[in-house]
Order: sequence, then structure tokens, then C-alpha cells
Amino acid sequence: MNKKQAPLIENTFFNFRPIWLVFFLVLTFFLGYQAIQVKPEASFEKLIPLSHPYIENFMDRQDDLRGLGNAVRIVVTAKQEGADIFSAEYMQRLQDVYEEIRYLEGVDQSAVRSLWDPAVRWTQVTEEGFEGGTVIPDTYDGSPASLEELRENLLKSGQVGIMIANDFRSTIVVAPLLEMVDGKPLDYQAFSAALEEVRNQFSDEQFDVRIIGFAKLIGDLIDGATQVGFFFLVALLITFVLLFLYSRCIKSALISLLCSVVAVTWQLGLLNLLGYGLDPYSMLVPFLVFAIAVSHGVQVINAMAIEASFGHDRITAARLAFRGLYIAGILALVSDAIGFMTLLFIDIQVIQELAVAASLGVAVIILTNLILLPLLMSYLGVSLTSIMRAKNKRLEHSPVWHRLSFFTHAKVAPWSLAAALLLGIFGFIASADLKIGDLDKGAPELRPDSRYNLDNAYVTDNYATSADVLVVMVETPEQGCVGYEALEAVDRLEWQMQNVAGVQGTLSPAYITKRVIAGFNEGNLKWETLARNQFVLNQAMSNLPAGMINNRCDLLPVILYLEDHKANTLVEVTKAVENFAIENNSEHARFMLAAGSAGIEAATNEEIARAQTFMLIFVYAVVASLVFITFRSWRAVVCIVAPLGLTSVLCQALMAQLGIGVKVATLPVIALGVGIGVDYGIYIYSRLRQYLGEGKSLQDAYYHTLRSTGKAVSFTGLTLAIGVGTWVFSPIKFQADMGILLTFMFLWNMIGALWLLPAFAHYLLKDPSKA
Amino acid sequence: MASSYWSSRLQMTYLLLALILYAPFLVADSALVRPALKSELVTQSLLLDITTAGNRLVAVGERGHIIYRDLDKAWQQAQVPVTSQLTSVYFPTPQVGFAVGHEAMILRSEDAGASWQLIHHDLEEAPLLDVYFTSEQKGFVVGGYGLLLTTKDSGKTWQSLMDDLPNPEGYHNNAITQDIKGNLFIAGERGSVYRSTNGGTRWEALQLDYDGSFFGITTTPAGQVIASGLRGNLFMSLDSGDSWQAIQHPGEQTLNTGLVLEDNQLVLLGQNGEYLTGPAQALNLHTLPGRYSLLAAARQGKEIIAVGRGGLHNLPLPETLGR
Repeated sequence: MNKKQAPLIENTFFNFRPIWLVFFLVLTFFLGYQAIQVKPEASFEKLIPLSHPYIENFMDRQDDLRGLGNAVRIVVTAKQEGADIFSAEYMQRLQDVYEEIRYLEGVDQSAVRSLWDPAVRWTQVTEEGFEGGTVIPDTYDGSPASLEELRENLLKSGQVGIMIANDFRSTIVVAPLLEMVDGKPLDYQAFSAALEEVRNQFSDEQFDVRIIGFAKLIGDLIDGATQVGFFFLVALLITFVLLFLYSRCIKSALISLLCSVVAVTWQLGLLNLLGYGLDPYSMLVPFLVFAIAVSHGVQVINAMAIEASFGHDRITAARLAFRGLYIAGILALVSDAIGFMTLLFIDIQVIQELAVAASLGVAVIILTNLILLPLLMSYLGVSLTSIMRAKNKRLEHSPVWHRLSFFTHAKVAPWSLAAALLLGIFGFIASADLKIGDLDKGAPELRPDSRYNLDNAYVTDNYATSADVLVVMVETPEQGCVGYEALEAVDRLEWQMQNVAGVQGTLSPAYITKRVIAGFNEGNLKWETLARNQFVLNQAMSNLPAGMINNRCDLLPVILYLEDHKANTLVEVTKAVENFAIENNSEHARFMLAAGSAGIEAATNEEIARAQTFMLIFVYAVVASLVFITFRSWRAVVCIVAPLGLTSVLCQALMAQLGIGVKVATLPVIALGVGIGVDYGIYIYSRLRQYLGEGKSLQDAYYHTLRSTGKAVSFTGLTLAIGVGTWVFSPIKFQADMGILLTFMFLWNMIGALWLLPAFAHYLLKDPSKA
Repeated sequence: MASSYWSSRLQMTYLLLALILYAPFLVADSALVRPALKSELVTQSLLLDITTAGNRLVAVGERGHIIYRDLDKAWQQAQVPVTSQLTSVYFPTPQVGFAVGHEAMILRSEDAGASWQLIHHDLEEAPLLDVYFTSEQKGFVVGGYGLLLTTKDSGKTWQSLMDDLPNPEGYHNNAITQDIKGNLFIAGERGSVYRSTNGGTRWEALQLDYDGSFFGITTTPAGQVIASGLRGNLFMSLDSGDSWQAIQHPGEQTLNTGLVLEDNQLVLLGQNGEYLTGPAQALNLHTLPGRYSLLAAARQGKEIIAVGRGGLHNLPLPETLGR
């Protein structure tokens, strides 16, 4: 082979092989060192769309809503048959837990509430007036008499169903959290581990400790997500075995695996250099990078074996393989990277970080698997058996590929397209049920039988208040929160919202004020309404608990307890609030959404719904224009991109049928699927064009395409599918969902490329034999 | 606590009241008075009083809620032009009835409670707490801070009787009723009980050995007059209020109003789900599951329907009735 024919880029690398190898080695050590330091992380703010108006409102008012935001609930349960909270042992245990929780790093100490907190009080009306005190009597000594007093106080405290279980077998310690500890964001993993220690320390055969709350959830997620590391090893092993079976060359298999691992190492190293951590969502990126790297690696060793079978020496074979692949390879990887970058349009930081991580990852594959891999192989060469195999295969007729080449045939192509159209229509209909957001009860990130979800179900079953809380923030003029007009509007909002399906109950300063006014009138319920008299309101509102009123007296929170956090529920409820706001906003009160877990989820859903279509259009536009720029042909665009469209539609149908919603975890997968799927099409199309250019008939050209690259494509499709298929066993529900979807997309994109691309080619590409 | 402020405000109340009584009929301020929201939850909302209009039950409560039910039919929500809290309802005839509430709202119905017209209101006035009519034409309304109004023309015009009531401190008047001899009784804050033997023009304060508040006053066909109040305090007079004796019973919670069944048997409704049944001298204690506070009850067929927090509550007929 003449070196002078070689393109500049090829000479740049192959003329200075040792220098480049040393460079890559040093880089790998450096980035490997960085990669080791990557930490699992997750923060509340990264999971939410910060620029959504709901979230902006919430962030503005975060300080006023302490306790309604990020808190954990620790439930101390009397476990034994017939036991309840009215025992000296129980109260002692509760006190121990309360004290322990208060001094945990990250807990807002002054805001922790429990029966042992002096701010938790009972009230009663007597002939002398209003009586009240701490629920645990000052004289409490654990004796039956004082426990009986405690029981009576609890009944009078109004906390049954809120802090005390309906069956009196457990009570809750509520611990609001600080977002920053010593100037650093709260370390959720460490905090969750500390909570786990509290659980272990205070659980025994008598008592159980259950913990729910965002911080615990994130901690559990990080713990579960890191287990995915094990899946990485499994995927590595499976891939190696398949690579070996495919190439029959231990060197090729090992080297392509090694280069793919180098790609992952670089990606993780770069991530750390850029100051990113690895959150439960971006944990999928190393898998993707590995999978994509392997798929390109296979193309390289496949091409090398073929070139070697023509009798070329190692280095020439490597050069020719590089020369044949680098354009398609770089195009495919760049379109992957740009496709991933479209995720940046979603204003949720975890998704954006995932986009950066994935884009970096595929970018480094250009170096590791398109350059480093052929460089290494130019020293090692493909084994003789593998060359012989390639030779034999090349010479002998392949009945399988021959049969598949009929996909280009005039009698098959129309049927293929008709079938694809039918599938598309079917998929479109089936995807009508596709929902935005989380569909399961409890924490849908985790499996329904996870410890967290069991704890969550316990709280839902035994307490009146659900964990799905939407907070409407009612803004009033400064010092105006006690005004009759504001309170009256809040009261009316509460009643209207109670009448909205999906709202289980409500709580607001107006409601508490009404009860206090009745209390001032000897508990007579006939007085339980908002007085127009300002003095009465002032006096009543001076009794509001913290969290219900802020210092400037310009915010009234209305808490809506929702039945669930399904997207439909959230949409209906937020719509009802927005309608109320339009009709009732005045200078006295402005109704703003939203805080609380459900408020944040509603905002996230809206952001995802907004971004979903936009992102799909953008990712397709990017992929299509890159294909167009490379091949300078709209026909290429149709041949390569149209099969991807079918995959996207079918993927949505699959999601709808499996009850997987479009959410923070699955939206990226939809974009990634398109980005990765395009690789197959690009490799096949570029070969097909090459053979057509050599004057072969379309069917013959496709037959040769299949023999050379089609084998690699089908092999990688299978390998990748098996690799990500391991995720189905992840303890994290959304990782399992991602696994299912990616497996499906890898497989179906492969089928689409092998089956539909030739059918489109039949109609769109010129057949030289007919010219 | 609240009353210290209010007693100082009392003079202004008198002034305002005088103004209103002679003012022409007031048109409801549309910005402040809006029709009650129709709701499926209305039977579970806070209901404060229940009565019978012929065979029909009519109950009133928060947010302008009025509901009614005919025998063996479902509850229906009435057309009500206001959203104020309604505290009491009374039907002197099966068709004509009156409901009263906060902001001095008085509503009148001529169709047995299906629809209501606003006949009196005053946003600044103390709440009205009980209504009683001795005939379709003549009735009384009592309320907070010593309020006592009367009408002789079925609600067209109202006059204050506050000057005739010996209540200088302006204590709340919580309940009003009539006994079999035609004596009128008002019970209220701080152990106050008043009687009028001449149809409401002259009132005298009665002496009871108790200074806690009464929330209900109940009379039986046997001539018993029973005042019920704070922390289960229960007093009975057998001589139209001349002398009173305390009634012992096992309950501890505040008692609101009472319902009289056959054989002078009582149902006395109390706070936190406690209620008493039986003859006055031998009351049995019951507790409603859920411990909802109960304010009043009425009977329809074999059912006793109580109202309070949580809306409607079916009470079993007392066993002592020997059905």
C-alpha cells in the first residue's frame, strides 16, 4: 500500500506510533488517577428545574418555608403484639432517637419536632379560660399515671394522624434539613448512612425505626446505584466472551475491550477534572460509553481481519482499517455527542450533567477506539485463525447474508416499508397512554418492595397526611398575612381544593386561625370561622406554629395533601390552583405555586413535557444534518434516519405498555437511543455507497455490505443489548427501566438498520446495474 | 381573653345596631357576599345545627352550607346566597324556616329549606348563634356579646331587645327555646340563664349555682328545662326555672344542645364525640367513633342524625327506648 495515498490524519498517527502510544499511556494514567477520585453524589437542587416559575417561587421563599421543604421523618414504632406508645420504654426510646437526630450533622436542630419537643402542645378550654401545656407533662416520670396524662394530652393536641399514628403504635420525629453544612452542600450519602446508624442503634425486638424523606431516598439511591458497578463487571465479562466468539482472536477481543475500558476511564477522569460527581442518573454513562466504544472497536477489528485476509501485513491492515472507518466512525461519534448535547436544553441539572458526561464519553472514543485501537493492533496484529476465517468467509458464499440482501429487492422492499408503516401506526396508537412523570406509589425510583417504600407505605397507612404534599404560597403585603381579606381567600382556596379530585386534605394558617378562634370562645364550634375583626385575627394568629407564618408576615402557606403524585393528579390540582389564582389574585393576596414534594414534581413534569418534543425534534435535526453534511445527500438522510423514527415510536409504545413514564431518568434514554442508533445506519450506508460506487448492483452491494460490516453491526447490537440488559436487575427501579428501554433500542435500531435501510435504498439509491 | 376587648367595643356595637335597625332593607354587598359553592363534600363539612321541617331534615354549617333530606331520600344542597358560617336553623312551620349565622346573616326559606333568601345581614355585627320562632310571624335570634333580636313579621323587620335583657357585661347568648308553658329561656356565657314569662318583652336573670358557660337549653313535654354546658355541666329545673339542680352523669366533655325523644328521653350532644342518652336522671355515656365534636341532632323515622365536625353522623337509637 502506498503511504502517499494515505490521508493526513492517518499519517499523523501511524507515522509516529510510539510517541502516540506513550502519550496515550501517560494520559490514561493521569485520567485513571482522576477517575478513582470520582465520588457518588446527588443533591436536591440538581434534580429540579431551577428556572421553572414554580421552583423560582419556591426558591425565593425557601427560608420562609422551613420545615415544608427538605425534611426527613423518623418513625419510632412499638413492634410487639398489643404494644403501643404509652409505655415508659417507648417514651425513653423516642427521647433517645429525638436527641440523636437533633445532633446529626445536617439537621436544622431548632426545627426538629417530636413529642419531646416543648413546641408540641395541647390545649383545652376550662371555666378559667384557655389551658395548655407540653404534651409530655412537666411532671412526667414514666409512671402509669403520667402515661395516662400523656394519653389525654395527645388527644387534646390535635396531633393524632400527624405526629402520632392513628393506632397509637408509633410517632414521628420530623427533622428539617439544612442545605449547606459548614459552607458545603449536605452530603446525602453520609447523612443517609448516619440515619441508617440511628436505625440500627435504636431498632430491636421491641421497637422499629422507619425513615422516609428525600435525603434518605437519595442516600438509598446512591447506595443502590453503586451496586451497578457489579453489573459493569458482568457486562465486561459477557462482552469479552462474545468478542472472542466473534473474532476468534484473543488479542483482538482483549485489545478492543481494553480500549473501551480506557474510554470509560478517560470519561470518568474528565468528569472529576471538571468537578462533576457521579449521580444515580449519570451512573449509566460509563455503561453507554463502554457499549458504544465496543461497537466501534468491533468495526475496527472486523475491518482489520478482512484487510489482513487480503494478505496485508499488520501495520497496513491497521492503516487500511483506519482509513476505511475513520470518516464514518467520527461522524457517528460526533452525531452521538451532539445528540447527547441536546439534553442540555432540559433545565434540570442532573440531565445536563448526564449530557456533558455522555458527550465527553463518546468524544474520547474517537481517540481510544478509532485511533488507539488500530495503533495497538498494528503492533499485535490479528491472529492467524481469525485471518483464515475472514478469508474463508470472504470466499465462500454466505446463505444468510444472501437471503438478507433481498431486503433491497423490488418484491420485498415495498412489503418491508408497508410493515414498518403498520408497526409505526400501531406504535403510535399504543403510545397514546404514555404518561409524563412517575406513575407508581411511594418513591418510584426504588422498587416497590424496597425498605424505603415499605417505610413510606407504613406512614401512608397509619397517618392521616400523605407524603405527597403540594404547597401553595400565598403572598400578602408585608405584615398583611393577618388581614381578613387574605385569610378569607386562603380559606376559600382550601375549600375549593378539598373539592378537587386527588386532594386528600388541606392545612393552612386560615384553618388553624379558625380553630384558635373557636378555642378562645370556649371551644364552641359555632365560632370556628374567620372573624372580620382585626384584633381577633391578630390574637388568634399570634398562636400559629412556626412554619405557618414568617417574620415579615407576608406569606401564608396552604398545604395540600394529595392522594398520589401521578402526573394527571398533579396537572389537575395545579390547574385548579392556577384558575383560583387568576380569579382571586388581589392586592391582599397573590396565589403562587409551588413548594412541597408534589409541587416540585409538578414543575419537573412540566419541564419534561415541554422539553420532550423539543428535544426529540432537535436530536433528529442534528443527526439528520450531520448525515446530510457527510454524505451530501438527502437520500442518505432518509435511509439512515427514517428507521430510527420507527424505533422512537415503538420505544414510546413500549414505555406506555410497561407503565414507564417520561421522567428525569427516561427522557435522556430517548435521546441516547437516537444518538446511538444512528451509528449502525452510518456504518452500513457508507459501505453500501462504497460498493455501489464500485459499480455493483444494489442487491450485490448490500450483500457485500452485510458480509463486511453487517456482521459487525448485528454483533454489536446483540452485545450492547446484553450489556445494558444486566441493568434490569438493578435495585433502582429507574435504572432497570433505563436498561429495558436501552436494550430495546439497541436491538431495534440494529433491526431497523439491517432491514429498513435497504428497503429505503431500493427506492432512493441509483442501482448501477440498471443504469 | 377575647371578651375583654369586646366589652370595650360593646358601645360601638350598640351604636351600629341602632343604625341598622332603622336602616332600610340592606342589599347584600355583592363583593363580600357570594353564593355558597355546591360541593359533594358538603355532608362532611362542619355542620352546626340540624332541625326538622315537617318530615324533612335541614342542617346548616360552615361556608353557607345548607342541606336537606326527605325520608328515604339522599341529601341535597340548598340554594344559599351567602358563604358565611351558619350556626342555627329553625322551622316554625313545615314550609317556612329561618337560618342565622355570622355577619348577622338571617336567611328565610318558604320551600322547606330548598332555597333561601337573605333578609338581614351586617358584616360588622357579632355572630348570631341561635334562632327560635314561637309562630311563623314571631321569632327571636340570640348571638354573641349579648345580642338579642326579635321579629313580629316573619323576619321583614327586626328589633333589638338587648336593653331588656339583664346582661350588662354583654356575655354571649348561646341558645334560646320555649317550654310547654310558653316561657322563653336564653342560656349563655358564664352561667347566664334568662327567662321571659310574657312572650319576650320582659326578661329576668335566673340564679344557678354555676358560672361556667351554657351552650344549650332543652325543654321536655314533662316540663323539664335542662341547661347544658362546659365540661359536661348539666342543670335541670322542674319548676320552669325557679329552682335548679345539677344532674350527675358519667360524661366529662362540654355538652352542646339536646334532642328530646318519646317518654322525655334525651340525647345530649357533646364535644369530642361524647353524647348522653336516656332519661335526665339516668343518662348513659356513649362515644362516637372518630371522636367528632357533636353540636345538635334531629330525628327522622328511626334515624337520629347528629351534626358537628365531620358533618353528618348517624347515632343509634338509645336502647332505653325499648323499640
